[in-house]
Amino acid sequence: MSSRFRTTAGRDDDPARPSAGASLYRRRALGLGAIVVALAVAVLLSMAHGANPVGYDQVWSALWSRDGSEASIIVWTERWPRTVVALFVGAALGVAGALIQALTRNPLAEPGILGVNAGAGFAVTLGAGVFGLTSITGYLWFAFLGAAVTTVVVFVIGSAGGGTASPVTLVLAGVALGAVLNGFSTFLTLIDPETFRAFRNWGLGSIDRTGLADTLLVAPFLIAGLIGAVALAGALNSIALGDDLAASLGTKVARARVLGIVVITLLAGGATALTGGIAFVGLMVPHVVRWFVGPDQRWIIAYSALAAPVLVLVADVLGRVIARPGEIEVGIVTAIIGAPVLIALVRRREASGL
Amino acid sequence: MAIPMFRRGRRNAVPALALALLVALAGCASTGNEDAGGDTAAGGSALPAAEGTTQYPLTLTTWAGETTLQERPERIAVIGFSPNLDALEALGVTPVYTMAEESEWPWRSPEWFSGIETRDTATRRDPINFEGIAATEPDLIIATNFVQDEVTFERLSSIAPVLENPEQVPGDQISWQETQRMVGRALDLPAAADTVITEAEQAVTAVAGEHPEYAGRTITIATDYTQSGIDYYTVTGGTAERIVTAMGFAPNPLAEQFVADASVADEQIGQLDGDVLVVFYNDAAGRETRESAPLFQALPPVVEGRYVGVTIDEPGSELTWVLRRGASATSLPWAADELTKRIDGLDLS
Amino acid sequence: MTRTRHDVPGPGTAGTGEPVDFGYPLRTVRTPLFSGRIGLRLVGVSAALLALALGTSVLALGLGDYRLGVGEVARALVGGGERFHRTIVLEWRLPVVTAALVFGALLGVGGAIFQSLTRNPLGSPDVIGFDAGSYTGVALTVLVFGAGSYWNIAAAALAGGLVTALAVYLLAYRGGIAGFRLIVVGIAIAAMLHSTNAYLITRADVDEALTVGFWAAGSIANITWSSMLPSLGIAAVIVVAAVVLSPSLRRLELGDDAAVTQGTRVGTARLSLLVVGVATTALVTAAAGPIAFIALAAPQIARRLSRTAGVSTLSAACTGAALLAGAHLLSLVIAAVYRVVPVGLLTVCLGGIYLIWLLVHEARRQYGTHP
Repeated sequence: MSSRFRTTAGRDDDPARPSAGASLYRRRALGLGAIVVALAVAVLLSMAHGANPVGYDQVWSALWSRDGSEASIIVWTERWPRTVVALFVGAALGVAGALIQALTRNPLAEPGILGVNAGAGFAVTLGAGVFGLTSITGYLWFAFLGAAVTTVVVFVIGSAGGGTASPVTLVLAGVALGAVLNGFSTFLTLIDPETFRAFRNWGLGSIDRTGLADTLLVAPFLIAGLIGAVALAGALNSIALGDDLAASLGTKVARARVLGIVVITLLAGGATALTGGIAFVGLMVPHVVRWFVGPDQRWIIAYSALAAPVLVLVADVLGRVIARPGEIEVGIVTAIIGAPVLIALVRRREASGL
Repeated sequence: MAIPMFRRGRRNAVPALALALLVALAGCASTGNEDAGGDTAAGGSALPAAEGTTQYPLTLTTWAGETTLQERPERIAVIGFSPNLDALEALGVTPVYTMAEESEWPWRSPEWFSGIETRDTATRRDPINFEGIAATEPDLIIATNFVQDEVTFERLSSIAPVLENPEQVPGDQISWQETQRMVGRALDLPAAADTVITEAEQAVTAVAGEHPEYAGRTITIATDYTQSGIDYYTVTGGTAERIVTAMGFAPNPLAEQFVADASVADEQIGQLDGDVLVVFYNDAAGRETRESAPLFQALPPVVEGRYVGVTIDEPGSELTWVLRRGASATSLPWAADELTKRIDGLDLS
Repeated sequence: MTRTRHDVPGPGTAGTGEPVDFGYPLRTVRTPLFSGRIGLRLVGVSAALLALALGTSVLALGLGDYRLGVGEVARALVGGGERFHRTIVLEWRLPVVTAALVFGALLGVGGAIFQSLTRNPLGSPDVIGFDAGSYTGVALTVLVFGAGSYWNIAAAALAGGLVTALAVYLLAYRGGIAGFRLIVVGIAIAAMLHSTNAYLITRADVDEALTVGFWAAGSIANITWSSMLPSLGIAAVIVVAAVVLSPSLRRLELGDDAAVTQGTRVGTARLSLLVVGVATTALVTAAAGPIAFIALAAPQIARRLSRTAGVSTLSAACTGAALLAGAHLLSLVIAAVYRVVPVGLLTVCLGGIYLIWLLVHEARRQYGTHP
């Protein structure tokens, strides 16, 4: 299946030719259905498993009635909030990764490489150290702000002087800025370890620390970002053909790029604020998805939005189960289960197209 | 004046400027700032009169090598965790070198501490400041439980004789009494060392007599690290459990499951149950989240008002350190008193 | 943009034809007209950087908490003066200064080799997991097996780095090594290792974590001759190998086809270069811990300073040495006026800020001269 697909991927898939093969369309639709089913299963797993070995029957009855029993408290106050976070953050990171890879034309780009995590971490550290922040909600906004400012600054550096951002410059700027910001955070932590003790693991990526209320505070930004991504998909398809061709097809390239950066900022910033940044999801999911659906951004974004939460949920459930009575942060598990998949794929195909 | 140079400046000018700045700074640092790298006080060590029990030359045998004290040391440098400095403070000995961060413990006497010649701004997380130690010209370096390898030992011993354990001891099995006795012997104050050990042990066991209501009650002490979850402190057989049982509490049967892994998952928070629950929080935000979690609110000690929360920046939070690695003749009486004060407000009936 | 679909027929992109820019625009390398001018500037920049590195090192010899005058330092250097002064200057300060120069240069060389081979700045050893592998080796040795002596840590770092490099190589090998595949496999492995390290550290006992923490901060502050001398020997071998291999590196940069026509045995040359590149990082990490960012930043800074199209081993080595020596001097100055700061932090800040400044400057210049 792969060899036949590879030969068709470059041309027939072209968004400029919507009359792509019917079998390809069926395959994509079937795949999408399969991912939706997988997502539903992952949500159920997330509600059913945890450090506390509550029986399936108890979980099942707790799902239908919040009766104040221990099982019901565990399911609805411990497992449900993190499931919701996983859904939002997974979708946001997956789609943000897809957009960054499309805009930078670099299949290695992801929020972490653009320094978003480092920016959020630095802002939170600064907020606690200089402004004396102590509330979770306060951290949230600082992280969001830090992530957003970093994203914008990286794109500004990458396109300094008014030209469009060159992919290599963008990646270098992201890595450099991220390293410097991480360095500053470490420096602040060194000066006053007591104040910053809580941030030792901030960047590790956990969906366990955010309450439902805080998730819902950020959710509008993430939803706006997801809608924006879908709206931009067509323009991204044109941009993939090259800026000149895209312009001749009627795409407003500059506007699409700016909007793309805004959407990335919303998605990556919001997701990082909620979790500290979950490694690898934004890199891997769009990558894998592209191998399956080809270069059409509309499909890549739809698949990423649904597949990334599956990865986050499964990783989180594994992290809850394998280290009993403790837990392993989801950011640690995503990398450990994600990496082999990525390696297997990169060995199977020559490379990943955009 | 420098503005035109910058505006027209070529990029090669930047490294040169940076270098010039460095040279200027270096010049300032080596000439202008006498007490750079730490505060200094006048005078050397102050030692009580020798007891005449210890014979010099005294060979200090450590796991990393041997050094010899030719005569009774007078200028003592201390590195490592707080019990090392505590051991000197308990004996009334003033060293010449320690780290400035050591002043922050509430059991430390500020007057005594201000008598220390060099209080280095380096912390115990930094690499050992060999030059800083050498600059105070010590004749003994107390580095118990702190020498990481032979290379470090050799470098320290090129400055002065080094006091370390004869065998390497895992961090959770360090005996503060042993450290206190070693220091007492090296300084020819062994009887004084035995006295301060006995006094400290009595201060803790005295709590049991003053608070008969503790007898037979269980206590759970834990720290909420916010990001990496809760750690159970009073695990069976650990330092913290030894301290609370000396204060009269009964061992908590739930504590046995945390011997191998002290972490408590959020969903398993019911395992923190005990007649008294003390939780230390790493930050206020983490405390806010934890205390509003329904599972935590359902804990019997929380429901029945037998729970105390302590955030890391409040006074008294240093208890966590004493319960883990900071036990000493000076810290334990403070810790027993502090813990009692926290629990006194609770209804244990 | 001048870039088109088939502009960069690199080994990783062959056959798929996607408009991906994996690195340097190769076409500019194929302009032998400029090579003479570029060469001159390259040598000049390298010499200036080397002078900067050496000058900083001499200054660094005079700084420390144990106060020594210029005369005392000079006397100690030629073997005179008080015995303890000689100990401080020759046994304590000199190995550190030497380490800053040699390790900085080695990291620059390693970075240049990998960035050339993969034609991507993200191909640096610290991005594709060799540092992380060394870290895992050390973390396992100290935290799981409880062996924290210097030589155990060095051996663990070496073994961890080499095993990781071997794993990345084998997993990326598929009838040859493509730069892109190597980076993806490297990033994947690095992500796994970083996760493992984070897990080990956060679950570790505080004191043991402290041992690893000392090492992980990437410190050259307390390096001794006993570890420096073997490192110097190996470093010499590495430098000779790098010089011998540098012509094939330049030819490989032109693309495999060009290299073959110029008579380079592509497979052998690439493998030898990989071994040398891995050796640089492994050696430095074993002796001083992971000193991040120099391998990534030095070749990029050097490339922009000397305005060459690709990265050059020579200028990257000089930049690396200047970066680490400068960071070491700065750390001494900061320690004297404020407090101790790990040198690894300073390399990141110095190198990072400078690289960002260069990127902005470069973009401005390109925009200004854009047709």
